[in-house]
Amino acid sequence: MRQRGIIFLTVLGLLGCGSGGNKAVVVVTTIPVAADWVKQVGGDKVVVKSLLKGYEEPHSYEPNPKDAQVIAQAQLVVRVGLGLDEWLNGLIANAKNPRLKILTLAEGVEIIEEGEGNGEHRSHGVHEQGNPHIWLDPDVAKMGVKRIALILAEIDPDNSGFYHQKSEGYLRQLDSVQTVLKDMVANLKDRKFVALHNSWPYFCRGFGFEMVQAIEPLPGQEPSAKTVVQLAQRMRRDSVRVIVLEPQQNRDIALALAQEAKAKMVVLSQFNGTRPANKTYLQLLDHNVRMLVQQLSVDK
Amino acid sequence: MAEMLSFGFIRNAILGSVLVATVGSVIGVFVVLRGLAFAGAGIAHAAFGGVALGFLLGIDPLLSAILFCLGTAGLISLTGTKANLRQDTATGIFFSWTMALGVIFLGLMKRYDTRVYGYLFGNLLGVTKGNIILMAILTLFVIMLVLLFYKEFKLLAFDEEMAQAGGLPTGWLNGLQLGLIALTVVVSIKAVGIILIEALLVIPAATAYQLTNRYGMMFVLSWILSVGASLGGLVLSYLLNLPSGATIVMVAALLFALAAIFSPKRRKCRVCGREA
Amino acid sequence: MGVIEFSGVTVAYQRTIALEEVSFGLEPGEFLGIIGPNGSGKTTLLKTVLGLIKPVKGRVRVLGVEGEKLAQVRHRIGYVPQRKPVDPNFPVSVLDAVLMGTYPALGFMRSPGKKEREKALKVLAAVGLEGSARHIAGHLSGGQQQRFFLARALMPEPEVLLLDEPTAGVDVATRRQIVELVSALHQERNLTTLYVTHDINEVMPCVDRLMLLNRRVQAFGGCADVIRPEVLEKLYGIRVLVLEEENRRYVIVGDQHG
Repeated sequence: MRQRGIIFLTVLGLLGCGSGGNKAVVVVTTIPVAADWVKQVGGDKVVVKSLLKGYEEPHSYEPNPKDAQVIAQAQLVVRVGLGLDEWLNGLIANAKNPRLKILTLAEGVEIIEEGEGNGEHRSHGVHEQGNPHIWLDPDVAKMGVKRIALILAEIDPDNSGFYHQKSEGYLRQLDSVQTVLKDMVANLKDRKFVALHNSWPYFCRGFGFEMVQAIEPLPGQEPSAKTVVQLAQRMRRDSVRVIVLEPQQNRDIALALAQEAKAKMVVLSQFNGTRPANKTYLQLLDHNVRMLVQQLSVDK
Repeated sequence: MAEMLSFGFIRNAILGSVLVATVGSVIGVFVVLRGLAFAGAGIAHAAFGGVALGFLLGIDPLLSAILFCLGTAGLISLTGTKANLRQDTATGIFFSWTMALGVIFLGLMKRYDTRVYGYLFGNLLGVTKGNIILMAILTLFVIMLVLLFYKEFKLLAFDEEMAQAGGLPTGWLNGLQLGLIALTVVVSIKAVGIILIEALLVIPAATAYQLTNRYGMMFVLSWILSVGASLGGLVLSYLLNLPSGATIVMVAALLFALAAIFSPKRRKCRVCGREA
Repeated sequence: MGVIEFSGVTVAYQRTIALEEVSFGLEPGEFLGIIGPNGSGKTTLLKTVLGLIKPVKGRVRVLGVEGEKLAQVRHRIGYVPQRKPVDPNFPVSVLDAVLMGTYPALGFMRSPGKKEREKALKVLAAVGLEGSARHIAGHLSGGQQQRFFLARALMPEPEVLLLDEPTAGVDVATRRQIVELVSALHQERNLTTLYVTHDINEVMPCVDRLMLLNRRVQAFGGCADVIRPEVLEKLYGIRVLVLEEENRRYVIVGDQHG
């Protein structure tokens, strides 16, 4: 699957170099959410590929040689930053692509520090510069979409009007989806949940949920016995009834906690493209919010 | 602290580590007396391949680990005899081969799964009731076989040549012991993880070896030390906020150090008073 | 009916021919000394008697059975292998270790009981180790360990006794004791005994017959027939002196003293 995409891009690139007329802008993103934004803004004037498919653990992703090839052909790379996609640096350096522009989505975003909304966990390691899972806040999305439109217009000035128009349209869509979903959450009596990994602070900010604590102090790190006991006690005390997991996460401890605190587990993805219900970013937001609202609405 | 016990996962953690301690301490006696520590490590690392295979195929990784570990035990035993290699060498081959298989299986997986790494380091708090049942069955099975073959194993450990000359099927008995190590490894995976299993196989029995001159007593002491280290390690890990598996190993190692330094009986033969 | 019969036995062991066309027979109660240089196949011969090694040619018949059935009569053969050091720290007492001699014969799931313990104590007394019953097996001296191996071999009350260089690595005084012990046991219990050694002199007084082995049987017969300079020189390949004194023969090989 991946191979075909690469060949496609390469052919396009070669075609583009040859004819020198109307050619698609080649964009690479690190996460599928950004790829969706680029597609929404660029339409058929762009060819976009995301390096992560959506199932991977973004912090510890290991790029392969094909990824380097793709970067070499690209004109724009859209990355998140804040330590989430550090592995991109090596790829960019090796690609030696002088015309490559880089857009870092985290720039200008109001960063949530690790430790806010996550109890007493210190920030170190992968969330050192702040929590990087910024894209789940629709306001961040709006900013990102605007910046993408601008930079595409820079690269491809002939189509700047097109990009502007598309981005405006998408921003309106974002707006209305955001309003509907926020209302749903506002009507909830209970908005608290516990998450396995701390991917959700911006999501919470964007919609009004409250993530009480993350089970894992750091991605992949097992919580200690004391942490789990205290968390179970807290969940009982504060009536936290929902635990959010992501696909492919080790759920044994979550299961144990769910049993102790009589909570439900729900699997939400932080990326689009992991299941039929969340192909696009908007669908992802919609799906996640609705699922969570549903779990939080169930009577005790 | 007593409130800890009200939590199901704490009870499971305690039960799980006692089961692991039991099976590990008993098999550990053979590991120490027959020099099977490397074979034990090799089989433990084979579990990595087994777990990875389980994730690749979408089946319970403990089940695929059982098959992989037993298979590796069998291959080590066979290769030793048929290819005329020392068991040490045969182990070296399969140790790395099974790990490489594991890496390949992980690479073949379309969906990246971090759960595999939980099996490397153990996930004691995530031990489920289902896990406990499987662990209990395996433990019972292992203990039963050890009792059944008690004297055969003893002779095998003391003088393999004589055992063979006496007519015992030493090849099969050796294979059986490796198989029991494999089952022990599987019981222990979730509790302490693949990397630390070796410690539970070796350390309590080695400590018992320091403390007694009687074969039967070695099993008893090994068990007591192992369970003691497990429970003590669990409590300590709770109080000090440390990973549980590693803390258990630390306690076991400390007990060994104390025994090795201060052991009174071990050094003196009760009859002749000679120092060992 | 011979207790042990070899007819044209050839054994190939790890790519070399260890025994070639070996034929001999032993009557019940006979004491056979097997002499030969290193690598002559002496140990291989003993293992072939036990059925642990199978010949590529020829027939081996022991206690009336042959081939695959040899395994069944193993418990009637006591085997004292070449001495390997016992792990000095292995947690068994001498008594316990001797009792282990009964394990192969005891059925599955059966343990040695009071009867076996008494027998073990008796057998330890027979080899002069009654005081050491509670010692750690690994703490015994070299000579004592030899006796202990002997005791263990005697536990199943065998009819045949195989000894592989029982006096190797042991001082002269202890050597004599061991040989005398073996001789005494042979006579008391009428054991068919095969005694493998380097040293002709130590075993000569006790044997009924001697076999000179160097892959092939160089000589087989009574002392008078076998202990002759020309025969011995052929075996060892160097000059041999045979002295006779007071009806006893002494063999001096090269400048070694027997």
